[in-house]
Amino acid sequence: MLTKIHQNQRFFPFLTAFSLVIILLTGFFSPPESNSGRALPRVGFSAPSFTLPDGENQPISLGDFEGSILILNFWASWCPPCRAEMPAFQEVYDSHKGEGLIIVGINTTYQDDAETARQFVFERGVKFPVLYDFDNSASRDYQIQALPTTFFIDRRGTIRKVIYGGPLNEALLKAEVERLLEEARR
Amino acid sequence: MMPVLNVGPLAIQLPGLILLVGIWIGLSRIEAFARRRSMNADRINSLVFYALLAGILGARLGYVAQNLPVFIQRPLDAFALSPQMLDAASGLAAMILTGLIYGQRKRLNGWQTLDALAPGLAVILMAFALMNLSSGNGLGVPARLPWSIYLFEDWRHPTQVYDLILAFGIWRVIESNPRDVTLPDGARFLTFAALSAAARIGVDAFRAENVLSGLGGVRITQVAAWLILVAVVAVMRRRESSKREVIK
Repeated sequence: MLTKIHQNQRFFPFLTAFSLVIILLTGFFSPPESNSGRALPRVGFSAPSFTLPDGENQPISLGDFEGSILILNFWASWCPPCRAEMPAFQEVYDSHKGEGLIIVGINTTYQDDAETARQFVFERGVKFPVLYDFDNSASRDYQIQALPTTFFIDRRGTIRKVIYGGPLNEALLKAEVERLLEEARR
Repeated sequence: MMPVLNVGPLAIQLPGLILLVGIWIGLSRIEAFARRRSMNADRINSLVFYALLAGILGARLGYVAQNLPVFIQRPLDAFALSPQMLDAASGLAAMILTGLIYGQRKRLNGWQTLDALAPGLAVILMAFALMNLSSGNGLGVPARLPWSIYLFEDWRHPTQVYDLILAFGIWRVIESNPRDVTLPDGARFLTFAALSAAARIGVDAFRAENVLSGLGGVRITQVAAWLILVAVVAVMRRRESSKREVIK
């Protein structure tokens, strides 16, 4: 087949011209689609909204963090990498909260024990908001398939990075946060 | 879509696993091709090994360099086993540079070596399509077609499947006529580059995620792929005309 292609003098010029036609057709017929505004748990799309109770049973929504750079970390108390990365999240939260960073831990309570999770948060001195997903609503909307899963969301509410698995280290978290902060400053 | 494979307590990142299998099969195809053409398969294997190693190191160094203030504070984190701390462009540059240096030092014929690498690259292209199918990346625009797939709350063009079919076709073409000595050196690699660029242009017309060029729905990747295609065809023409002059 390769020999035939090379024997045919017209094949590559035809391929080049045909590709150009496809590009032109794409330009005319494919709508200039924008992903922002559509809520999907994927990079480039808006973060799906949620309303979940915090440790004091007060409902907290995604909209409450509007205008902030947000890290959403889905975790469970029985998950070793989730436990291991919690101090790094706390460290990054402490060093950047004054610059508009919010970290929200979402405990997948539907598959965890709420009391054990609360105890873990207390023992580790977690100071950032922790919400409890009792009914799997947020985990379902964010299509959580593994723990931990971490979403980095910019000031406009667009998901910029998703990391499946862990534990994440402090340098990685800081690098991603500082990139988003730098963008926001421009 | 299955980005993570849960096996008991282990959460295996399926796209990474697919890439590893793809590289392994790709290496075996490169070796098989090199042996069929009576090339030094061990040298080609070493070239690929050093290039891959340099690619990983380069990708990590690139990431560290881009975030230097953070790593000055926490230098040990630069050695973390974290696949997220990699910069693809730096990795690719390190890979190409290492391949060039190794090839020059061992006096490998550049075009023949690229020909030997082409079947492996075609296999890795298939692995990329499967990785995207597993992770959900490169998703298609919404469309109600008999072959649409349901992904992220919409029926969509199965762009990952289009990619896989085209990559398979490219692999079949690249692996065909392995003993044909009438084909000029480099023809196999250049054909691979041209067909891959054309496939990118075709599939990206149906992709939802790519960055737009500002010309209606034209994607930047389509424009870049077309420029690559034009460059490849120009190189082919130039090599043919210089060959004709030598014969004259």
